[in-house]
Order: sequence, then C-alpha cells, then structure tokens
Amino acid sequence: MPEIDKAIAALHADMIAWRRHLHQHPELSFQEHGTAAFVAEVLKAEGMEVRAGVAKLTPDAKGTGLIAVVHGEKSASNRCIALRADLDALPITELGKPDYCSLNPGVMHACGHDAHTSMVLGAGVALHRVRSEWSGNVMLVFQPGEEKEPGGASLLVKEGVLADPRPSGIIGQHVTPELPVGQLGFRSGPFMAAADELYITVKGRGGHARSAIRWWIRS
Amino acid sequence: MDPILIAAKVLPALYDEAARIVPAGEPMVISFGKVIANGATNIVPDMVSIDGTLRTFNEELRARLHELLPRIATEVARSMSGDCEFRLVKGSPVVKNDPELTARMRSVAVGLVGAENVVDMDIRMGAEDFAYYTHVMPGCFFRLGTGNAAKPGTQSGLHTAAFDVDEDALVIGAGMMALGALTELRD
Repeated sequence: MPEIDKAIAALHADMIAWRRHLHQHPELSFQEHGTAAFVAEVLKAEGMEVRAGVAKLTPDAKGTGLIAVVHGEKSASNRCIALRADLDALPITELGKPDYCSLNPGVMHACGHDAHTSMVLGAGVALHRVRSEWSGNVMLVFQPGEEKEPGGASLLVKEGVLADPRPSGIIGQHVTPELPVGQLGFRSGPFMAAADELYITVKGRGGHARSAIRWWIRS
Repeated sequence: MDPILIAAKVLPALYDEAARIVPAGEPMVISFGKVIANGATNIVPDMVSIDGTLRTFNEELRARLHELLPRIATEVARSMSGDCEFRLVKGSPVVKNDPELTARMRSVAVGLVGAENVVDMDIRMGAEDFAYYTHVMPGCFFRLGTGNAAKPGTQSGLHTAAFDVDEDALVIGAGMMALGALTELRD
C-alpha cells in the first residue's frame, strides 16, 4: 500500500524528534511516568484513544504501561495484531552526545527503547492517518520495565489487557549495532535465552584476618 | 570457616557442575558478575554475597539446574563448616518466534529492504521479556540494524555509555511494524 509508505516517510522527522525527547528524558524500569505521558500526548494529539495505567507492579500502583488500538475503517473486521515497544532506560551515565544527551543524570536510554517507542508511535500514527485504506485493528503496546524483573510483559499478560479485540499475534523489534543500518535480522523458533537471577549468600565465620587460616585447620 | 575461601570454592563448583550436565550442543551460560566480601586487609567478613545469571534454551535443563545449583553451593559450603542461602529468581522464558508469523514478517522485510539486506540470525544468550508474549500468542521478534561506521556511538554495544542509534533506521523499523501489521490483517 503506497499510502502507508508515504505516511511513514512523512513521519521521519517526528520520529527523530520523539526519540530525541525520550532520549533526553530517560526513566528507569517501572518509573516511566513522564515517558508514558509523552506517548499518550502524541497519540491523543492524533485523535486516538489511549488506555493508560496498565502493567501495575502492585495492585494499587499506577501502572506506567499504555495501550492504544488503531482501527482500520475500510470495512468491519475484528482481526487484530499487536505491535510492541518498551519504555524503560538503564542506570548508566551517558557519555555526551552533542545535541540530545540524557538530562537525567545516571539514567540513559542505552538499550534503544527510545527508538523502539518512537517507531511504534510512528507506525501507529501512520496507520491511523491512512485508516480508510485498511480493515481490522492494530494494538499498540507500550510496556514498562523490560529491563527488570518481573518484566512489564509478564504483568500485561497477567492483567489480561491484551484483549478486546484479542491480537492474533505480536510483533516486536530490537535495535542492534551488530547489523548496519538498512538491514533486518530474523530467526524462526527459539531466538533468545531464558534468564534467571541467582543470589547466593555464603556464610562462614569472620574475624581478624590473622586468625583465618587457624580456623580453617581446626574445623 | 572463612566465607571468602568458601565462596572461592563454591564458584568453580557451580561452573563445573553446570557445564557437566549440559547435553551436547545445548546452549547454557552461567555467569557471576558481582561478588561482595566486604572485609578489609585485616578483617575477614562473616558472609560473601554472589550475584549471577543463568541462561538456558531448554526448560528441562533449566529445571534441572534450578534443583542442582543450590544443592551444590550448599554442599560445598557445609563441607567447609559454613552454610549458604541460595535465592533463585525465575526470569523471562525463551523468546520463541512463531515460524509462520516469522516467515511472513521476513517476506515483508524482503519487500522493504531487499533480500540482500535480510539476515538470518543465530540464537542469542541475551534475554528479552518479549518472551512472555510469545508463550501466550504467536510472536515475531526481529532485529533492526542501527550501526553505521560514519556515525559515532552507533557501533558501540547495547548497555554502554556511548551507545547511539543511526536514526535513518527509524523509518525502516516503523515501516516494518506498519507493513507487518497490515500483512497480518489482510484476508
């Protein structure tokens, strides 16, 4: 569909601006209040409805995730596909960028989630602008806390908010410096590892360092 | 017993045991990136804390290691008159890309950037919480190239202080998302 290509191309400058804004205002996992508000503002400015406050860490917490559904208007259809972005940044002090260095000391978008968010925003806005050309629904999923357990994705799955309409699948992406710009990488089947955190506390008996070997011999 | 000496024995025991039960060809990584024994030149502390990560691709192996690793650490510590607490926090599962959805997205990518720019990737030991979605619905997680030798930072690794992306990639990633969605909604 040429309309969507044009709509995406027309949004390039906006996507750069959104990404740089997010890059300058990074927030740590599950604290993405400003980021979520920014995403909501962009979508609402396009006349889209946003469901904010999802992905709650505790039942009474204000969730920092949000979901928006773009509706195609060509003909009635309940079909739905989800596009996913992650919102959080990392506890890293950025080494200066000339124009858009982090303004939040010690916090940095060092994993490209600013770009992921900007691209799902771009895709969503573009699809909304050409909504008369297609049928069905596209669910935009902006999740918090990708970098930290329990993971914003697990909270969204648990909360059952990926429904109404229920997506038949979900597409996500990750930037990588290992591929040059212009390339895309795919793998079918298992792609990335299961990860578990290990916390070990070894207990013994301390004391003055002069005694340590003696205890060792005695025991 | 000196807990630092115990920790110094626990670590290789865990690395060795984990390596020995892994079936041939099965990817597995165990790494400890934080070891704190907060004593001094002349003070031996009462405890040592060790933080690490376990990466697997096989749920059976994962479960076996969850049982084995605490046992090994505790046995080694007790054999030296010490003890050990082992806390395991289960993280995200494997990211499994649905073969049919991924094949369709790969075709979209070929249309968007040309077959010569679509790369088939190997498995990664990194983790990604996108995994949770892929266990409740078909998922496709792809990688977007953002490296450019001419732009500073864009070849710096993820999670580094100099990391940056080539913003020319934004139209490709967004285009991939939008065209991918439309492909899935087509009758």
